[in-house]
Amino acid sequence: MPALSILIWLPLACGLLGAIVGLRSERVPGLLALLGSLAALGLAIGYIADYHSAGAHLQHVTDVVWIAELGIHYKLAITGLNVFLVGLTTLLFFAATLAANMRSWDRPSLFYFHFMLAESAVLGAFLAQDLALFVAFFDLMLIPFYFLIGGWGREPGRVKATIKLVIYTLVGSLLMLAAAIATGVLAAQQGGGHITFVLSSLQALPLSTGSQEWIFLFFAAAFLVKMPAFPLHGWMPDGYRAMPIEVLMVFSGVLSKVGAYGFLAIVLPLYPKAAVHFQTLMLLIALASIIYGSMQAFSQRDARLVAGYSSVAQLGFITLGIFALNEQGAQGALLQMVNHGLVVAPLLFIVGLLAQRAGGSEDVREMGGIAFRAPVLATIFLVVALATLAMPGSSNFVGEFLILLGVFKAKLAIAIIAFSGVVMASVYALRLFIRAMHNRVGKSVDSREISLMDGLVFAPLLGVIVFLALYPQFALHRSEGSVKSAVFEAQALAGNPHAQFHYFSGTASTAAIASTEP
Amino acid sequence: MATAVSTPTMDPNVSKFVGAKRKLFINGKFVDAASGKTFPTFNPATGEVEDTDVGFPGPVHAIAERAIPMRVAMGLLAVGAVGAGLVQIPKTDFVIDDFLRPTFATSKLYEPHTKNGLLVVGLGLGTVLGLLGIALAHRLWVARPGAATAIRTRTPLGRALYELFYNKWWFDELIDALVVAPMAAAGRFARDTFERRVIDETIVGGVSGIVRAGSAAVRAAQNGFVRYYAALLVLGVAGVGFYFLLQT
Amino acid sequence: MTYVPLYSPAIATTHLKGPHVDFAGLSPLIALLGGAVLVLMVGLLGHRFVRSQVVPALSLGALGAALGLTIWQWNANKSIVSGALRVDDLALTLNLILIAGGACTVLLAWRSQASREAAHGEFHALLLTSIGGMSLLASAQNTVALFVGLELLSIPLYVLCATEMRREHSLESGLKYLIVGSVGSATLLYGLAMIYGATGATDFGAIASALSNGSLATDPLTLTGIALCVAGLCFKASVAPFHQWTPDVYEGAPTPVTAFMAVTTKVAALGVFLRFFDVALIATHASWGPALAVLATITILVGNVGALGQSSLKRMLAYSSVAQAGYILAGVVVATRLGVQATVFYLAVYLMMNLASFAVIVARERETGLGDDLQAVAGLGRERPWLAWPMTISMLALAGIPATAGFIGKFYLIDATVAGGYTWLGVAIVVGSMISLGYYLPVLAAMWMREAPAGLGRGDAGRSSASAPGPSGGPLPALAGGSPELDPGDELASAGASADVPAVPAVQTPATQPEVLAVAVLAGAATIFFGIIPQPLFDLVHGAGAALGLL
Repeated sequence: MPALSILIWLPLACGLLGAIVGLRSERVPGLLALLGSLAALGLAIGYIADYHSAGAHLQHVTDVVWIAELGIHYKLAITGLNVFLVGLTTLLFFAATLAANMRSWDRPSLFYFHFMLAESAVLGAFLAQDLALFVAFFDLMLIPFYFLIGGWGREPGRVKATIKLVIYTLVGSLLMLAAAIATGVLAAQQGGGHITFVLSSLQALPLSTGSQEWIFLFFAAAFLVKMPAFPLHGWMPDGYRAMPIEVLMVFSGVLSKVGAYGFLAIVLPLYPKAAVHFQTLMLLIALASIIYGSMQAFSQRDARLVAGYSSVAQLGFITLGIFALNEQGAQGALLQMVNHGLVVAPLLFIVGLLAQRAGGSEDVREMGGIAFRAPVLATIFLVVALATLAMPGSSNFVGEFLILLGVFKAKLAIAIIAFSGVVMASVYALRLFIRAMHNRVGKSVDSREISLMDGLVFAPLLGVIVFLALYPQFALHRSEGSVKSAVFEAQALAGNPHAQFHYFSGTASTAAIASTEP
Repeated sequence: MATAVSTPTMDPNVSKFVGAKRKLFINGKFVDAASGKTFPTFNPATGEVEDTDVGFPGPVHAIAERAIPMRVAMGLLAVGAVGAGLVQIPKTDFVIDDFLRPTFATSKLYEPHTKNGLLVVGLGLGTVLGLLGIALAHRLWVARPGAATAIRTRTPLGRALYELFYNKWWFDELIDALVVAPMAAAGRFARDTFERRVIDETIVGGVSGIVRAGSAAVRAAQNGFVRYYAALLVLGVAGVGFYFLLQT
Repeated sequence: MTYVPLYSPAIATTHLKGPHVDFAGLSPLIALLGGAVLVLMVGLLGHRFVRSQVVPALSLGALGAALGLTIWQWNANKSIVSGALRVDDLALTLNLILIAGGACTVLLAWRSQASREAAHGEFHALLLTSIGGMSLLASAQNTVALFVGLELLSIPLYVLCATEMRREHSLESGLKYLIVGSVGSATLLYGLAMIYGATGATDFGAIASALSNGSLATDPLTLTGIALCVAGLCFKASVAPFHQWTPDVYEGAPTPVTAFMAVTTKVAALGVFLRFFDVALIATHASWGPALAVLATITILVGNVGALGQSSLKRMLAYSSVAQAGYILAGVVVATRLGVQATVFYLAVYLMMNLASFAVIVARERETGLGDDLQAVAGLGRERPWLAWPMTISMLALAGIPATAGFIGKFYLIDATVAGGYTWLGVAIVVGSMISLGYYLPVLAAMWMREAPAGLGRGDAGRSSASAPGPSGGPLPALAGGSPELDPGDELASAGASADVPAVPAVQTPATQPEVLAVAVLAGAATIFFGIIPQPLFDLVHGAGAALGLL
């Protein structure tokens, strides 16, 4: 397999090439971007196929010293935690680029340049194994979206919305920068030795509890704003309203996952004592996100915001799973990250298609009866809606089940209340489906079947949804080792008993879990 | 009410016409009434209001099982139900128990091949009640037609029971009042009030308000007069000097 | 009483032994000051070509010579002029930054209104003298040398600010700078005098050893002296609450001069902070460390918050430079080797970021008639991508976005502050960055997301930078600077004075002047380059950190 750097920088290279060549031609940037994202998708599939869950924790490692004085390494690796997220990213960007190619954009070379820069930055954030590099990619990935929303967004207030979104997110991210630097410095001071930011080295240099706590809070601020979680979701409604659909597909599908991934891959292994200390707080925030997000989702009139608030609720479930601080919860969270991305992107694309069929309006009160001349669209929408509400038989159900099982073991009361979130999910998913597709035909509705190109956008996404629904073990098995090592210390500190029963291997066992490795 | 249609599929134009709101054909055009009023159409068989706005051709009702596919499906379900009942007859066969044993073997609540006699009592009671129900239904509807209507119209208890059953125990209304309405109200509260007041105005607006107030203060202090700047400089020097002198 | 005859054989045969003059060590300074004299002389020549082309070329030549001599003196590590100046890696690195800033200023000022009005020779001579003063300041090891350098840097700047004589704001800016600057210098001098009174020495090394002897460190005279020095130097470096002059002066001065001030004055002032506080006053670190930290925090907050909502780009950049001074001061506060390295690194990066944006402002001022208003850069992304991208990179770098050198600089500074035990100061830097987004992002929005203001075309509005209309209608009297010796080809200067509104273009300026564009593109490219491959800069500042002998 080629080096990981190629996977990360290939989209950006295609974007740059497209920007240069695109000065002459309007179609070329879009096609080049499509080629770039397709190539990245191919590489990602190769990495998934090549990943050995029984092998070392970090695979396909690239480790180059970037800034020797500060101990920052340009270190990339595939782990069980990020292998599927990388696949998700490339898949969603491919689908979104395909969808974007179906429209004509003003200044296309610039548009696709920013799009591809965003893909490179997100891939870098997932693959980074150095704390400073992760923070750098995390902050960087927001800037192309600033330009995409501000320059090509939907009119009322796109500039204000994008400034608000960027500042709100960067408030958290900059706090995380300070915390990350403090981690490196304090780890070197307290543990002795040269300053370093490489994650595996930092894991061997635990910080004192006091330091861990404020650093944890700063990291939590950044990730909670990113996901977003209640009550830090204030940027979401305006931001979601302003984005073009193709941009929103990747924003909602992928960017929020970087926050959740950060919790699992960085916060839990590096700051386990703080994670245990703040476990109840985080679970409560997650619970509030689930309930508030669901309540908003089934009350919203704008179809986009239904999807947006449902994302708040789903990411609440993911946070819940992560802070259950045991393997089931974390496994479920990781699976749900992939699932939610796979489901929200087609959902948003469908919202765009619905708007085309309802006279340009995304208000559900204007929709209705769209299914009658668009059976394929209705079927696809139904599959996506059922997956959103975690219908048993879908991979989302497996993920949610594992999350709730994990939380059930950790904090019973919170789990019981969280179950209501499952019910509310079905309310908002079905409400959207029924009000858009069934009942009386809306006043300005002019329904038609989806085109072949629309189908091409859906095909890979639905294919993977169905595949994972039939065989979720594929994802669970490969990520098991990494997830276990990520939650190991936090779990031990939280005093959760190790699983008495291994669901996946079918044997009852209380064997200690193998310790972490560099 | 969507029902299966046993007639051949209609041409879309026809079904559109049939499903459209009826208007008055005057002067070669379909027009609304001058007053704008409409009246509902009733289904003569059941007396309920016809919903003619639903997209599919509405007004044709038929018993579902007339269609072959439906009959096949129902038949399969019936066979399956019987089969499912047969596999776990208490004290006789334990197919499901054995199937589930690996999953529940380590649970404290698991008891293989229960020998509990209550199961048989329950089975028997259920069978008896079922047979009684069939007998009652036969008597009311088949043996003496009109008996049901007589009970309903002549006895107050009958009337009350009929209302209860006809309105599905008001179960829907109960759920609506206990669960749906409060949730919807909570959702509306979240959407209209909470999101605006707390999230937007307090958190986002509050923080940016503080920053903007600071900005206004700083810019107000920058009024352009040199003597003012010099005064502030002197004040600053005094402040710094005071701090340092405290160190002695 | 014996008296010595006027002429004595003994005296005639004795060679007077003068002090040893290390010309090699002084050579960069000599190049600068000598160049100033040369440029001044050449500028007296009558021919217009000589004045407008040869003079700037000569100043570039002087700067080039200084650069070469600086590199020649690398690794010298010696004290010259009886210990008054020190030529070490810190001084030489700062010299490099100053020369780069000076060269870019010369390029920006090549065709500027200010240079024309000031008779090129004077303008460039003042510029070179100021740079000479800054270079002196960066190597000063003696309080007297410090003051000389400070005045040598400041007084030409007072004049340079006022060179667009027909524009009221420019005169106002020069006058304000003069008055308030004098107060600041006086405060500093008073403080230096008190320190001399307390320690009995003017040499930094001697002051340090005097202060390390116990009781002097808490003596009221010493501490008052230190307080006054803090105030005076903070004034020069635009640290709050002594920053009040900065917005008005920066906004009023001609843009090339603003660029010069914004960058090089800070380099010099913060360089002297490093030398004075980390060498001379190091024994009293416990006293001035927390004070400077608090001042830095206040500066960061005031600077960032003051820039919000500004519609004038120069004023916004003035407040932004106040905030950046706060960030850089944090590197001084910790008084560690890492702190010195971080400070010098950020100063180098700061140069690149600021020059990019100022170059774009200069270019747009000359192309449109809107001065430095935000509207002047509206729609730039579509019309002039070669200007829009450097401005974008500059704004993002100032905000500390990754992939730019600004991110690495901030990272380094926060690293130094946390390692020095001032974690809360690192958090303050980060909070400042958050607030700063509120005024950098709207500039990006104006460039890429809005349309250019109507009625503006390339070469359409030929007015150049001196566009703020004067209060009166007629030409200014001689007292206010009206001068008949102006270049005869300068219709604009005489026409512009009588205009109340952006008037008929008298001079057609070319689309974008290549030297300004070159500065913008180079600075932007350097910012991105060092954001991705910062190692060369790290190697450069490594020696600077070791120079002061700190831990």
